[in-house]
Amino acid sequence: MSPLLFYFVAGIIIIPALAVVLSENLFHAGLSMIVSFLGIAAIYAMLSAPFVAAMQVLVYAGAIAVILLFAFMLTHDIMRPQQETTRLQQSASAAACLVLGGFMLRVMAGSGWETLERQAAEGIPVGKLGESFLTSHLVPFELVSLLLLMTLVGAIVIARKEERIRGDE
Amino acid sequence: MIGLFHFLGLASVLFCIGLYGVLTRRNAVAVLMSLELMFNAVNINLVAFSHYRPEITGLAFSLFVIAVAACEATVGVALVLSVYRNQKDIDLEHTNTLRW
Amino acid sequence: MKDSWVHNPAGEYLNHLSRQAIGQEIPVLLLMVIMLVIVLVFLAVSALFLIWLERKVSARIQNRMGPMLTGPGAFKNGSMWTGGLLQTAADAIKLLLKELIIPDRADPVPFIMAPVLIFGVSVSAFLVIPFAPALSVADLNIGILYVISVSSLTVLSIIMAGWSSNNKYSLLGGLRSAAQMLSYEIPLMFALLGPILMAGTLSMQGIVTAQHELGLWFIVPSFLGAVIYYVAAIAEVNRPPFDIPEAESELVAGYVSEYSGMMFAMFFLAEFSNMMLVSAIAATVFLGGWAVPFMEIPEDPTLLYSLLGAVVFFIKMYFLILVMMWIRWTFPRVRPDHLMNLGWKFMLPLAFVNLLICSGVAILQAEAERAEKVLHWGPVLGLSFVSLAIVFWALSRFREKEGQHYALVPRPLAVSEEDQ
Repeated sequence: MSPLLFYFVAGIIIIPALAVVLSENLFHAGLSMIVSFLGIAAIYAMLSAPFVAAMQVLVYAGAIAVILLFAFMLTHDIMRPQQETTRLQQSASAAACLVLGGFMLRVMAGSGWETLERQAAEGIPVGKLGESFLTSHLVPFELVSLLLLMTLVGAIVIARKEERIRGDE
Repeated sequence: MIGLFHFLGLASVLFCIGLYGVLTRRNAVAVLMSLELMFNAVNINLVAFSHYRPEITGLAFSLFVIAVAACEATVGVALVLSVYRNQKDIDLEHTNTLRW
Repeated sequence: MKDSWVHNPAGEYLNHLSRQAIGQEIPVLLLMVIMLVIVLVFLAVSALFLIWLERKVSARIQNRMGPMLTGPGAFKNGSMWTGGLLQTAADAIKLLLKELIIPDRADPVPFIMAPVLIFGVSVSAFLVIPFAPALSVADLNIGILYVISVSSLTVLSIIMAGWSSNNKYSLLGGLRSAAQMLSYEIPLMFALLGPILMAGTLSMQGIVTAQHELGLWFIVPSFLGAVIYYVAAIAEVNRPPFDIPEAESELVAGYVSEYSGMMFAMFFLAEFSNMMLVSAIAATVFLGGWAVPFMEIPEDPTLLYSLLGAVVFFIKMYFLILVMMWIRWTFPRVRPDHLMNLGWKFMLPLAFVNLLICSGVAILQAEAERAEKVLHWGPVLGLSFVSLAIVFWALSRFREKEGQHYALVPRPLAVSEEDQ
């Protein structure tokens, strides 16, 4: 896999991510987030994980991004100007993130990753993934399905309109 | 040559960008968007390791992370909508009425 | 890369031909451009033909003639069967010459990207459709999952179009359309799970060869799934009777209100190409794809066999598109709440039942393999009959009760005290 391709896709991920955190127009932030997600799907494809790449597009770009865009559209108040945080908070956060990032990169660069071998470009077949969901990873699988059920019920309960009669309590 | 370090480096950079967004943004929906970036950084890590050590654990857990991120975004959005309905304002600097 | 998860059968075939013709292979970039051009030309020509066909079919259903004078009928006072063939070309030229108006307060970047994205998504999904054994541009081992995931990006394009138009009718139309498409993606995916189980693979070519080996089109055991898929596909493409987002009498033109000229043509083209895409998927997954009945699949498909397979595939695909056009002028438009009711409370439980039936057939297949038979025909046909019976039962829920005056609302599967 050529370095040019990797850096191109990395650019597709990082530059829109910067737009997400720095952009004033939240709709543009949402759209840049989608571009970033598609770039990450390309990374998964490069890492021989086509199933996870398809899931990334389907769930993140197709569902989560839509939820967040809907949330933006429903809570957008055009009368109120977007306010930014203070310079102090911005510089402090930037410093903290740079320190954390530098530390992580330093630790990773110092470790010996070259001893690991790359696996075949075929990737792990989807059937094996399904088997593992029902044998070795059964417990997380069932817990995630329970979590999804709770999310479904909980989100509807939290976000629905209240139909209480005023003056009752 | 592109090795594991490049993918992990990409994930770290993305994580830190997301962290900056979470710490800095005032709109709740913007914070949720930056949070999704952090989830994705973790996922890149998992999938990269699964490529370099042919085990199924990385891929399986990355799918679980995707599912959990979907749940978290949904409930987060429901909460944001609920707050908006009550206070008409989702600026995080103003939603501090429990703290006196 | 022979051992990668993506193959390029069409590219390999073209390389094979070029090696025979000029003695060397085509460079990779040029190969990609050639195949993309072929797909785009196919889509454009098909869309031109289909728009003419739609106008003729709807005209004949409504007991009128349709376009008669442009094209072969120009100098003969109109021609009934081939009249108006160039009408679509004339419309396309007209749209090309129109001014591209971007409203002043609209957001220019999403406004322009929305039609590009929706057409790009359609083209990307077409790259995995197997037209013939050697004629799919990419044979991914996750073929059908790729198509589903890429089609889910059309929702984003519609939201972008609706919001960036800065127009409340566009926004309402866009959000309604997004809700409709999101709701119907789920029964669509579940209906496709049945054939995937029975085929044992996600790859589109694999599904076609599995049907050929089974000796049975997947529409037979999974009839319920086929019906659910088809109805959900019509809702996905925003075709009537599910065309609330484009309802002229309600929302001006929905999310395309502010678009003019070529951008509008792009949305229109994308709708037709989406229609072709879902029909192509249905033809592949449920109707057997390019597999010619009663003929063995050769190991190394010759050009003649490929062309025969492609013809068979096109017959199936265009038949399904004709049925979609027929349905358009047969049913009244579905009300939005009825639409949600139908999708979530009716089709989704039935899709689960279909999954059960198809799992049964898959188990029977495995048993038959172990017992070294081709298939246990008895139980499989029994399950197919169960599937057929459930479809008829489901249709019977649409019968009118006393006091109910509309026919496209099923009585709910659960007892509900709400008045419908």
